[in-house]
Amino acid sequence: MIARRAAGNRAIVESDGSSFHRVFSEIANTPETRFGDLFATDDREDGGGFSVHAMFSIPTSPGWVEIDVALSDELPGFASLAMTYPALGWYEREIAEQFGIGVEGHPRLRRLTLPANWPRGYYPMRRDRAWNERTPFQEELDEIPALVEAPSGVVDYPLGPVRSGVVESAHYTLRTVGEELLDCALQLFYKHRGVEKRAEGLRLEHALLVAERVSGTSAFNNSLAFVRALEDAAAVEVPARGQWLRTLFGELERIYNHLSAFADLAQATGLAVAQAQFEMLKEKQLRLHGVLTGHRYLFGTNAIGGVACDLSRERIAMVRNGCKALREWLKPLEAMYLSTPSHVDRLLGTGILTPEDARLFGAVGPIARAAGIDRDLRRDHPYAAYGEVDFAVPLETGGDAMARTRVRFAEVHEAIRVVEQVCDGIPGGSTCLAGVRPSPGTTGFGWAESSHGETLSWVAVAANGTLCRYRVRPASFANWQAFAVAVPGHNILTDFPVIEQSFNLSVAEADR
Amino acid sequence: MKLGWLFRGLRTGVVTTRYPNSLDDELAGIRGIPYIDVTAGHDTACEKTCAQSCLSGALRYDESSRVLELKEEACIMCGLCAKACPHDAVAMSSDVELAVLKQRVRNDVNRLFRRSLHLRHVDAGSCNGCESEIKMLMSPFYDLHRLGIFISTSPRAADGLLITGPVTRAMEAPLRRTYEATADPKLVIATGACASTGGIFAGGSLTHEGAGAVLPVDVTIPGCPPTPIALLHGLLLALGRARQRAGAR
Repeated sequence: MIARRAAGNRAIVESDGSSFHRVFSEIANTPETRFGDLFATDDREDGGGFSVHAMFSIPTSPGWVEIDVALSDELPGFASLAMTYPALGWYEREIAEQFGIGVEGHPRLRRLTLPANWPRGYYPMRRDRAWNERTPFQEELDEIPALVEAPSGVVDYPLGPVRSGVVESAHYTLRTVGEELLDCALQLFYKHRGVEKRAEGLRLEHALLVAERVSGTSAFNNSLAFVRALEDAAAVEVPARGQWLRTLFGELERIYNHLSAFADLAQATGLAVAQAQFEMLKEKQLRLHGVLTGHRYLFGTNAIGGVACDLSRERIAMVRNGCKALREWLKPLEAMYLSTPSHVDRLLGTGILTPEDARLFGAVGPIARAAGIDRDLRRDHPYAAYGEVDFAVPLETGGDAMARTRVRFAEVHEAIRVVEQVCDGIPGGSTCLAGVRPSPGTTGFGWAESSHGETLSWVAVAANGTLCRYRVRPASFANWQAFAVAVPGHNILTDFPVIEQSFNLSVAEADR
Repeated sequence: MKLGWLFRGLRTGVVTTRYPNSLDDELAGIRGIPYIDVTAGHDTACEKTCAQSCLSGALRYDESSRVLELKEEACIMCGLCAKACPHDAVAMSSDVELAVLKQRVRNDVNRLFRRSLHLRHVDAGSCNGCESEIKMLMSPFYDLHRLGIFISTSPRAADGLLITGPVTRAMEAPLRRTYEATADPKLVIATGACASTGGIFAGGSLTHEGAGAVLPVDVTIPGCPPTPIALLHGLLLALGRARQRAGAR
């Protein structure tokens, strides 16, 4: 029952519910293969049933392989893989609650993204549900995991969802004995907005606005993955200048996010001047974005078929000069930041994510690279103009807060180098293909490496040309699972802010 | 090493904006709300084109009065209407000082909070863009504290709430409880298109129509996300220390 066919930038393997487990393991156990995403679609309107899709990155051409599993219509379900592949835990829970697809044998099939008073048996991602349907509230709270009463001497600290500072809403329960952190129970998805459902049925330009708002601070790279998926579905090639500009903006986004991470980490350790200095550098970058694109967070910069705004020669010179200035500012700051004892002592050995855990829970991006996982989509699956510029992928092996900080510093330097190369080598011509329209019924897949890691996008286009399914797997969704295992260990309660800020994950991105 | 940081900070000098006394070039080139040229030759069909280009429902064509109306609070400043208009009658401005006073809890609010205002920030489902801009307010460039405005750690010690996001279903109860924990009299400031009206998520099955659907809101600050200057303007407006833009709604 296994058939292979090519579709754009990925190979598709077709399978059925009974052989899914075997096919999945076969692909997952091939060396150099990495799990990317697991999600469902509701194809009942098109004469099918529910399907489950698993995405893998493979080292050989075409680079990605997708397993399509058609589930039987009357009682859709499949056997859970989470016991073998713990990274799948959240993905399977999401499929179960959003589509009502049975996942047999999942160890903890509780709600993931839906609120506790969401009505039972109401599956929002099914096609016969509208995004703005008013659902009746359920009176009693459902499935809130009861906190096991702490034994004497053990103290549980509830933290969030509303807590000090300007932070995103998430709830942690920190279990401590004395000062030591024993465990961290994570409750995310307070911010679940139903982004994927919101994009369904929208015109493609409108869906792009939604894709940008998955996470405001990764707007460019998340929307890049989305427009690349549409371009894959339409089988078009973006003009060279558009590709180079995408590389430029993608790196600018990485730079400001990493600067922001340094400021937040300095705040966690109480290094006030460093915090102010990095915030200043970040603000300078944001102002630069405002001048270049009209938006401080690069909203509206991507277009389907290329980039919406071209940069004049003067603007490119401005970016080039900005790089030089940034590098000069950064040099003494970095040296001091990485040698101030009160700061460094808090980072060393704090929040260690072991390479095994990183692999097991599918960590991506700088978090994974700080744990020795040599993986970067820009190099391994080049897109935009990354195949034509020279950059290194920094690696660390410690897996602690210090390693993550070092990786981010090295990445900023590489990003500046890439931006300079783009400024010097950008070809002329148009930046955007006009009128890119994927044919009805096509699907597409796109990816990008944001400052948080791999962001993956999968789209299906409906018969009337609107978006039929938008699947986004942002980097933070993958990394939050790894975060919870890095907290227990040799950490004390006051290490928690350091661990949190050194991971620098986005809640909005995970909650969607 | 601490001394090194001290000198580093001193050498940097003052970078803080002079706002609200004067406006530097902070806003250079940033997209604000669209302006509609009513004198350009419209017809019914083209106005519908403009209205349909708007995802957040900020632009609406009123069939009875035959006018294209812009609800600034809902505008996400994407610029699609300007692109869609066949007559070039819609243009994006750089106007971002758009905060609107919805109600005034007490007339003596500017006397009470003039010298110090402590706000508790509540993220009710934002995309993190608003959080990033609010954090920039505390950076040396904007230095919120010089205006006597602070972010408080606890709602008990706060004079008001600064809310972001359309208010997701899961955040509704925590938001209400935070509001109840805040001492009276209290200000509620809705930040960004999402918190003002729900933005592009208004009316979803998982989202409300902004903070106003759950709590009495005093000031809304449009924008997606509002720039730091727009935020400062909104905060000062809430305190009665800035004026609302003429014609803002």
